[in-house]
Amino acid sequence: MEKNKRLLALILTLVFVVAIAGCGGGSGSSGDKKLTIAMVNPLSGDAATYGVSHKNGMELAREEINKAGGIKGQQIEILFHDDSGDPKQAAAGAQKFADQKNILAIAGSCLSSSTLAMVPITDKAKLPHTVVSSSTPKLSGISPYFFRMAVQDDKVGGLMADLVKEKINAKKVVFLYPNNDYGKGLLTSLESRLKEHGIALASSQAYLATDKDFSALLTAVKAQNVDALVVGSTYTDGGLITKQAREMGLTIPIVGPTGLFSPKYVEIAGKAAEGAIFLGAFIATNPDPAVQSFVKKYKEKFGMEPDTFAALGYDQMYVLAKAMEEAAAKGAVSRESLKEAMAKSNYKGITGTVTFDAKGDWVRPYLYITVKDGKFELYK
Amino acid sequence: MAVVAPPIVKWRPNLSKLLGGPKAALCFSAVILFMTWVDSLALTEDYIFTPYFKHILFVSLIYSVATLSLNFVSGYIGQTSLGHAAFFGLGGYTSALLTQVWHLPFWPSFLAAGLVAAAVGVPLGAPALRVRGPFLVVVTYGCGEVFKFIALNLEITGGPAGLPGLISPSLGVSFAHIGPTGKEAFIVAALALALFLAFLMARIEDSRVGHAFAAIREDEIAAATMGVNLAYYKLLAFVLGAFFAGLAGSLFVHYLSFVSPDTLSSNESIMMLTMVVVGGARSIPGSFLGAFLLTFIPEGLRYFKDFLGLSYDPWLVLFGLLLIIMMRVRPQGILGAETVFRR
Amino acid sequence: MILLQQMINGLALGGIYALIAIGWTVVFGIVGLINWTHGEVFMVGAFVGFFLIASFKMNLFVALGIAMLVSGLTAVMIDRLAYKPLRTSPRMAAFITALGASTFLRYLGALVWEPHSRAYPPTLDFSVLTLTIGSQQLTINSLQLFIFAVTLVIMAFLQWFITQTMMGKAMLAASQDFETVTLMGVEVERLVILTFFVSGLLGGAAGVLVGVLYAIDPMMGAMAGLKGWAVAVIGGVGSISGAMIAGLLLGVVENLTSGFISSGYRDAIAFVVMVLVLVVKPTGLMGFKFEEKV
Repeated sequence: MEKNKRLLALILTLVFVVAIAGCGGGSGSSGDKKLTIAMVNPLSGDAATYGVSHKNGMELAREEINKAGGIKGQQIEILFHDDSGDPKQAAAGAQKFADQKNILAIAGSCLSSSTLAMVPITDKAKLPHTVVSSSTPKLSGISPYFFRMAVQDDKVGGLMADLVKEKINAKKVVFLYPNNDYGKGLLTSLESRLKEHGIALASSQAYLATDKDFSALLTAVKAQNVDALVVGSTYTDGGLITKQAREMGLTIPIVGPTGLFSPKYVEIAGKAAEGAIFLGAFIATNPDPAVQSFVKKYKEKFGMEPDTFAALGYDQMYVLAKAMEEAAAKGAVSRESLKEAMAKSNYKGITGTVTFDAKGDWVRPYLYITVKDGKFELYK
Repeated sequence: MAVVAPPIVKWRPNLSKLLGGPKAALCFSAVILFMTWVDSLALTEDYIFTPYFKHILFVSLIYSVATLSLNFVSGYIGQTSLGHAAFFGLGGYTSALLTQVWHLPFWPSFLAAGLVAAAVGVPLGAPALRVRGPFLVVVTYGCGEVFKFIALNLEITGGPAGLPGLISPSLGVSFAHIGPTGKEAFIVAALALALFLAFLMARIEDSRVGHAFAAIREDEIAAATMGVNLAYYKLLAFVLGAFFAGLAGSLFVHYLSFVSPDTLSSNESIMMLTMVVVGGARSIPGSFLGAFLLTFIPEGLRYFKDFLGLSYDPWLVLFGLLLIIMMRVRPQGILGAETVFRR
Repeated sequence: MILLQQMINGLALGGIYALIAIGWTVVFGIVGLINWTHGEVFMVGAFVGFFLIASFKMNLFVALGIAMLVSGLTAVMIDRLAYKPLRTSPRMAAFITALGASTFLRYLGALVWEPHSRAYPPTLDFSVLTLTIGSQQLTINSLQLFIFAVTLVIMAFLQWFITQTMMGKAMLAASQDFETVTLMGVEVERLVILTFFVSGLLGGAAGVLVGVLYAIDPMMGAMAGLKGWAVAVIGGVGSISGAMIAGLLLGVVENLTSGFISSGYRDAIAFVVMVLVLVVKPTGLMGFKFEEKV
């Protein structure tokens, strides 16, 4: 008994010491021939799907770049930090990478709240920081080192209003949105643009992003006799809303933002997904050969269809690589030179041509996408 | 209670006494202060202790305060609370709102954070007068969850993304501008808070209040017949715990310059309770140990994970196992007294 | 009419809550433990059901049966490995163990099954029944109706088991007065195994039904498990009929909350009601009185 306890105490002490040593010694190991970037993303927990897709996309692009000889013979390396969707852990990750002088840029997180916690740190460390989502307006122009490959929320809502006007010609719509910054941002922009188009917003209802049962909200929608149901969802909640709406016999068109555009949406909504229309940055059935070759490679490596996060991650890696090349042409790649090169980005990727405006945002048009026979296709 | 009485081990009481004494506190502070300031003295280009290390150090100290304050409830009066993060987060939100919306300076808001948390400690502690044991666990848990939902849904708390851009505390100079990394002053403040609380608790233990707590913990009914005012002392424990948790929360969110509903989450409460349990309930050095262990180990594991090339983070799986083993081998915690739980 | 519609919508979910809550309540009644791992047993059931239906193309009912069995065995295994050695130690040690086991299982699940959400393949053809009463319409979805019916059948079976069989009677008696039952010559450990098994069966069934109705992910046990506990408390811990009634009530009340107040607070309702019940009437709707022993 006593022996056991002593052993336990010994083991615990050892673990503790090693842990401290590990933390303290983390700043070393500056790679001689490697260009290192880092990613902070939820790789476990509720939001892991986005983080993992983003990671997969970047990894695929990194392998290709390295196979093709890297940047002037230097290989690219990516380090990962799992923040489990917790801003506190995201801040710790950003700090960890900011300390490591050899790290040139940081990607992530997918979640606005985590990114908000990271930006003060990356800004202070003058570390280029790039994301593919985190579309809250609070991040617009927050730091000269922050580059966002996403259209911020207060533009996306407007684009959805355009879709409703152009393609459905609705007179009266209802909006359901997750009660977070994303949903609220969409609401603001949707509301004003609908007014411009002369479309009435019968009501807007917030729900929790983790909700699974929407029958109550949908019952209320049904009672309002509207022409279209606009949702501000990502695929899990959006898929469930679609499924439950159709199960209730609600037949009006469903319109959504980029978040619906994932194979998981069709998986969750099943047959109910047919005919839903949403915005997309990237479509796997896009006949463009560049897109097709990406889809093929992605499927081979990860065994599933790429979603928007994967495609944007893939492009993001190339944007970073192009910027590194630019910087390398002028001398050694540093955080500062990489930031300068990033700001001038003009890269034609599979999701469009990436450029950043003065506020570090990517202003771009979207595709209209629909589901037919369980497959995504462009909406004519 | 039918616990198999462990053989009396001489070294442990001695160790506890040693670690609980003022000398240990002095050594501990010296080590922390050394790690914090050595970079400012040395004139090297690279950090000896990186900002990341200091970040972890600060978080450990903040959790030490939270763990110590949870000890009022879970240690002294022996009631398990799974809602402690509610006080922590409430303090954070209070000072965030006071400084951001009403533009108060940091220090009054800091104090207000503690007071508001303490005030809320009364209604949250009230159920403890009627229910206890497993029922109190779920009541405190439920209250904590309700607070999270309020923070998620209110307009003024910024919803799920929280409130960014909080001011940094200052003493003439803003904390963020003191020292090479801007974290040094925060560490000193957290250390001061933790030491003050530890000192206070050490004094309380042998006072009238401490004896009343002990009486309630050991046998409520007997304590009541002896004339101990149960309601008063139980609420006092909650209020004291809430006050210090609120202070810790306030300092923490101003350090991050950001507060979000995650600060209030039940996972945080569970983590705080675990720190108490692992370190040992009612043990002051145990609280520090629990907080430091459970903050440093997961960060250390990340290096093992990278080193071994694992694609996932094993921490939470191991954490679960650790708790199970801990309860089997040493249910009273590493530095805990021999009997902690009541049946 | 919308009120009625919202109430109907809540029934299927309410039935599922009741199943989860009964699983909590039997374990608490007999072993006196807050079985924090119950949510994880529920998650295991949902995933087993998913793989049986998606990979082996099994019939829903067969899959439901197997998933229930697996969950039942999982619950028993958790008891044997984690709780049994602590049977004589303080309750709080067992509770912390339960917390640990729950964390362990949840994140192990996330590790093995990847942390994203999945949907069951379409298992049944649902149809929508629309009743027109006056100028108002009432929609009834056959899938929801089916789920509700399944939960009722399971609960009726449980009721039969408890009131008509020897083992069941022993369980019921033990939940009211454990010590006397042991004195009457009932084998305690067998009773405990049976209790955990029954609790797992119900949790697994709820998991599969949630999968059919909504979607599943490894984190699903956290909220569902806690709501189950809240329902058990509201109904009165240890009381099976209380859990049934409170479960259905919660399903309906949640739907009314999100329909008429705000969807943001629907998850909070369960906890608010639970706290109120505990403070005002700790025995719940139909609970027994737990004697405080001096």
